[in-house]
Amino acid sequence: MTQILKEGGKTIIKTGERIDTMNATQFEEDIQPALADGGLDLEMDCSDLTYMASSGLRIIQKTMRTVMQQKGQFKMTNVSPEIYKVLAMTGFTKFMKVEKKAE
Amino acid sequence: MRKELKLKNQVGELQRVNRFVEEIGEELGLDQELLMNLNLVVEEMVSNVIFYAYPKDALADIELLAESDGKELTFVLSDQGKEFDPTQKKDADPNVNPADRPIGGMGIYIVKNIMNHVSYQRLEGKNLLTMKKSI
Repeated sequence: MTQILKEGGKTIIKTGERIDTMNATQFEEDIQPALADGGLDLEMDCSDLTYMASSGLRIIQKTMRTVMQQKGQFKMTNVSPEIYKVLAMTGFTKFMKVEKKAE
Repeated sequence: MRKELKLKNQVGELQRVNRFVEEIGEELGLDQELLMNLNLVVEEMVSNVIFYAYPKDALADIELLAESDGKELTFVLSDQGKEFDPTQKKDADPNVNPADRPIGGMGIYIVKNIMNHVSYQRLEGKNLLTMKKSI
């Protein structure tokens, strides 16, 4: 289950355990309110995330675009080492802030 | 080890695909990371077939075969849909900012990166995709 939290001027998207082909559309809908705010300072908290398919990566890619257009900020936090490797493989870690989960 | 899974071209079937890969992982004693990667690969390729191989609303069968000698794990995915070679799909370029490149193209890129061998054949009206990984 995706949660949207506000913390000061910041918006935190807390993901569920999985973003896969079956629930990606739902996830994309869930995060729309966070993207519609404008002047974005967005964090995707992946503490609970254990699996993300390319459908999830596509949503992150779109989110990067939206945030860039609004000249906002977007980072991912508490990413598992396995998911971090996939984000590195597909070029995300080079172009956005991705913080790994503390061991 | 040899295991086979028969599926319909419906997105809900991905749950069964996921379970199938988990079972293989358990049987072969694969670690968590490899298991996640194999799930990514298989989900990617099976969902491609589910979404694109058949006309909308046409119910069809998809077969997934897994075989291992303990050193290498091979998946063969087959369907009787329209001819389509996913290995020819343009890869995403990881050196370009994802915000600036076309949306998508990451699935097949991940598959090629994770697996040691990926090949496609069109044989007797079937699409056959073979993917191998050293384990």
